[in-house]
Amino acid sequence: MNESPRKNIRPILAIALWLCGIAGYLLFVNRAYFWNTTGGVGGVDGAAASFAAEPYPLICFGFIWAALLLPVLFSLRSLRGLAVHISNFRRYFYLLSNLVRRDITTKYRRSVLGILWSVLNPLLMMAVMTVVFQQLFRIQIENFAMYYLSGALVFNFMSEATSGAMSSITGSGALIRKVYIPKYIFPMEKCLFALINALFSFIAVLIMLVIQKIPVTWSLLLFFIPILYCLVFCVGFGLALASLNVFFRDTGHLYSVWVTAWMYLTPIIYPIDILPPAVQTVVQFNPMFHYVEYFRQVVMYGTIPGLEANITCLIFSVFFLGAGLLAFKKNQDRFILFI
Amino acid sequence: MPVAVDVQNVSMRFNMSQEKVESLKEYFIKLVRRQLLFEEFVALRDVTFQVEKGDVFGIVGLNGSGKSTLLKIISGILKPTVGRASVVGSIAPLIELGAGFDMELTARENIFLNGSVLGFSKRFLEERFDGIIDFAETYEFLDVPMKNYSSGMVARVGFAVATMTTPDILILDEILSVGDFRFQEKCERRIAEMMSQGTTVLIVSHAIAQIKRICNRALLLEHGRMKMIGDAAEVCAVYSDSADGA
Repeated sequence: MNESPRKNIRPILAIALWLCGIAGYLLFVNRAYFWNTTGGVGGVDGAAASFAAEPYPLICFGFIWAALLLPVLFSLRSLRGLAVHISNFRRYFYLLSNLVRRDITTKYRRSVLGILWSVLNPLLMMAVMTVVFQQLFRIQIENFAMYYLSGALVFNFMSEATSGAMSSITGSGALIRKVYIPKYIFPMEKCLFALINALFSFIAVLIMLVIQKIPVTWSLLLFFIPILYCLVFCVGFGLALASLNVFFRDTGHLYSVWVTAWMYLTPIIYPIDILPPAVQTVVQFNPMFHYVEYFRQVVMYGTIPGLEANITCLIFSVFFLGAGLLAFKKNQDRFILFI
Repeated sequence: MPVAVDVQNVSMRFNMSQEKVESLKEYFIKLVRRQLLFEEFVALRDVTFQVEKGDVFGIVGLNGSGKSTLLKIISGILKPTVGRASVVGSIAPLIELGAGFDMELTARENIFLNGSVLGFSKRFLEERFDGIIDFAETYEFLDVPMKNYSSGMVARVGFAVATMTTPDILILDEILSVGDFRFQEKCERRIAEMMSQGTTVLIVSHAIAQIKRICNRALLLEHGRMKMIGDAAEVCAVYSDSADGA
């Protein structure tokens, strides 16, 4: 491989940008201490909440996120093992989009409403759940319908993405045995397919926001951040599941049970405070709890989560992505012997 | 002449007992019984050869001698257990025509899907689309789901997509046995055209006459070992003799 001087600068540039992004973020979140000398606003989250209704911190936020996310891609690129993947990824991007398109057309082929089902389905599910849990079980949550819908959107996105990714390698056996394609394309494609569905389901959330007359703030525009965190998590977890499923087909059967258990471990149909304190601590280690919570904060409650929430989400995402990539990379050459 | 395909000490081992393990329970039973990692099947044993640019290289051998495994290793689909296989230039592996076709989709959608599987860009495919249709001769069925196609028609579309460019290396695994007489002739003409432009061709075939006719060099595999390599006519003669003797 040719090492051009431009390439050598990349990792340094990336790290510098990374630090800039983090510094910018820290400055922004703690701006009450730096800019507001009167010091009326105390806590970090309090400051974030009070600024949420104004547009200009959002612009600030956008820049910081660009600074945070772009270098992540760049610094990954500079890692030798991943360099090939990234350059291949560019070449196979068109394939990725084609596969997603194929999944969408085959999923909705011959249905009258087509992709509209991605909007309708969550709404109908929400109607059922609202009747069952609010009328029958009398769970006391303000705006239960909206509470369920926003939680279910994020959770269903995850469950669809990871289940799809899990069986993607075994399901594409015919192709993998005949043509060389980077194998991570398949789990990734399923995650993107689930993302498209989730984005359509977001229309359902918007509809409910209007119907339930929930005050909409600028923070709604940040809805993509928890989804993005969750996507990174799903790609990582999906890669790991996909490689496990190649060697042990039992994974698939077990996973569907696990997803159900996982759903009840995530506060989707109940508020977190009804859990005993010990269980609440356990739930803190559930990444989905944090993504769901983040999503509700920006969409339903009009607040912007602070540094702690962001770092927690980021750590879960990056950790799972790293672990998934490693597990996948280590085993991918042996996949073909088992499919 | 520059080397197009370089195969160095390639061995391929398959693990027979491990391949059958499909559930955790079985895995643990086998682990306890220490049956794992036994019963190896060696598909290729220390294969080393080079193909020069512009060669038409035939690989012959009985069923199960490792021909297809070798082609898959050269195309990058399989990683060899030992050794290394490298190719110089673009490669069009025709291991199976229409691999990656989704039978629910129409021919038009499949051409773009399969083209992107082979790594072509959208613009490139749009430019070549008419050429592909001309070659496959499926004008009136373009928007019909491919599950309604005959196998010959599927093969035609597959061949047309895979050979729309002139690759540096073309890999053919018994694919010319599909399709009707006229289509086979058309394929051979296309292959001859590519060869005249300097494409290196690797062919696996049981049709000895075909190997003799179009190859200049050949390799004879026997139980995963190289039995003979050299002039196509000589290798074919040895292969025919040994097959008769057996």
